[in-house]
Amino acid sequence: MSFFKSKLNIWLLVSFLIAGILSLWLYFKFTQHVGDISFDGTVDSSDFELCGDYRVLQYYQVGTYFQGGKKAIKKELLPNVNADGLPPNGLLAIRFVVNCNGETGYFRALMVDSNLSRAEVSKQALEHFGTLITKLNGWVPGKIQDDPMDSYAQIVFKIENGTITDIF
Amino acid sequence: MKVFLKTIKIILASIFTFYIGLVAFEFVFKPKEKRFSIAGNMQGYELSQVMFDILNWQHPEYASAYFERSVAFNKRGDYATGFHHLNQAVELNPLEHLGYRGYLKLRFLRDYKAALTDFDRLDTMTPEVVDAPWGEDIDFLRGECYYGLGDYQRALQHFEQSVINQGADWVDVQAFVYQGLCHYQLENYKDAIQAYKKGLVQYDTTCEAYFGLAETYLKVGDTINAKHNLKKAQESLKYKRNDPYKQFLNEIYEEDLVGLSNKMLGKL
Repeated sequence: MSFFKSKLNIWLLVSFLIAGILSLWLYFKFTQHVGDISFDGTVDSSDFELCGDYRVLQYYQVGTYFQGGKKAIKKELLPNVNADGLPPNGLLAIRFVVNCNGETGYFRALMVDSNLSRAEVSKQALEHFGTLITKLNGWVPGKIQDDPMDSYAQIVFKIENGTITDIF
Repeated sequence: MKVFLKTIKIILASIFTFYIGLVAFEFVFKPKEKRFSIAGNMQGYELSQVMFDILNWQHPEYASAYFERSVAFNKRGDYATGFHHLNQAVELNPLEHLGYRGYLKLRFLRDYKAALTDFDRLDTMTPEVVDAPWGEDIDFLRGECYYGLGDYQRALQHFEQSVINQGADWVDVQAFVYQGLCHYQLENYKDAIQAYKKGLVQYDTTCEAYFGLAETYLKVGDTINAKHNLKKAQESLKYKRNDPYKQFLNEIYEEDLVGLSNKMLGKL
């Protein structure tokens, strides 16, 4: 262990280790983004696939949209959607991926109560919303240089007195 | 050989140490405004949130850092985290951030009452100024809140005030469109037509105004004018007002034009 007897060696080793750990940490933080969703076998259907292994961008970055806008989604979903198992008042944002073929999957729920505090959403409730959204037909995937891309999108459900009153 | 090896070790250790120092400088010791700008430009990256974490820790009174870090969360539907940060910014500097919070509550949450509370509070704080939360006239935004609440009379008052605030040539043309929509809801069809036409004087490509006219003319049984304006709406749809993040309350789509056309055919 004569290596550690030299102060120079210790300096080299310690600085190398700190620099290495720092670089890994920076790389990790630089490749992670707010709101990223990764495949989770316990909730995600294996039928849904991403088109590529590139970074999935946000709908507003690539121009993903639904034909007829959110009001068309509201028209289609409002008669079939229910707020069972959710807090009586608040907002439920369902975030998901629209792949390059306009198919949807990887649904995640972000719920806030009327005080904008986080509220839990049961797996059953998420499934209910995911199933309805999967059936929606009309997503136009966003493009980069004419190539359709996978992207994140979200639909917000407004809940008042236990009823869903708006979708946007 | 020994000297050579020692020199290499010194060079490598110096590079590693310099690198560590550089990272520390960028994240901890650089002036806070510069770090704020870098983190803001990396919006959405976890690295940006780390920089904001450090800024919040070092400068707990720096309101803009809370505001800026909230943006990525609110854009991605994580309102619990987003508003947790934004509320801190508002608490520290309400004058600067209250308007943006009201705007978000209106356009992102559609919580009209909460948005009005923020707008009214801001207005009270600056009685001598016509506020412009996130660049839009405060009365236009208040009008939109009342429109969302279904209080068309009060909405109308604010949209009219917005025209007074900004002047008919400079006001957001949608203030006239919303006036038309309010009159329509209040069954003042003549006033609705007049309001839409005022909007078209400002911009003759306002498809929302043509659509409103078509709807109103159809309502009063003037199918010729209804048809003409629907055609105009179709021609000007490419100029419609839209936002990359959210759908406006009065936003129209091709499907709405088709729907009105079908309704018209049923009536003709």
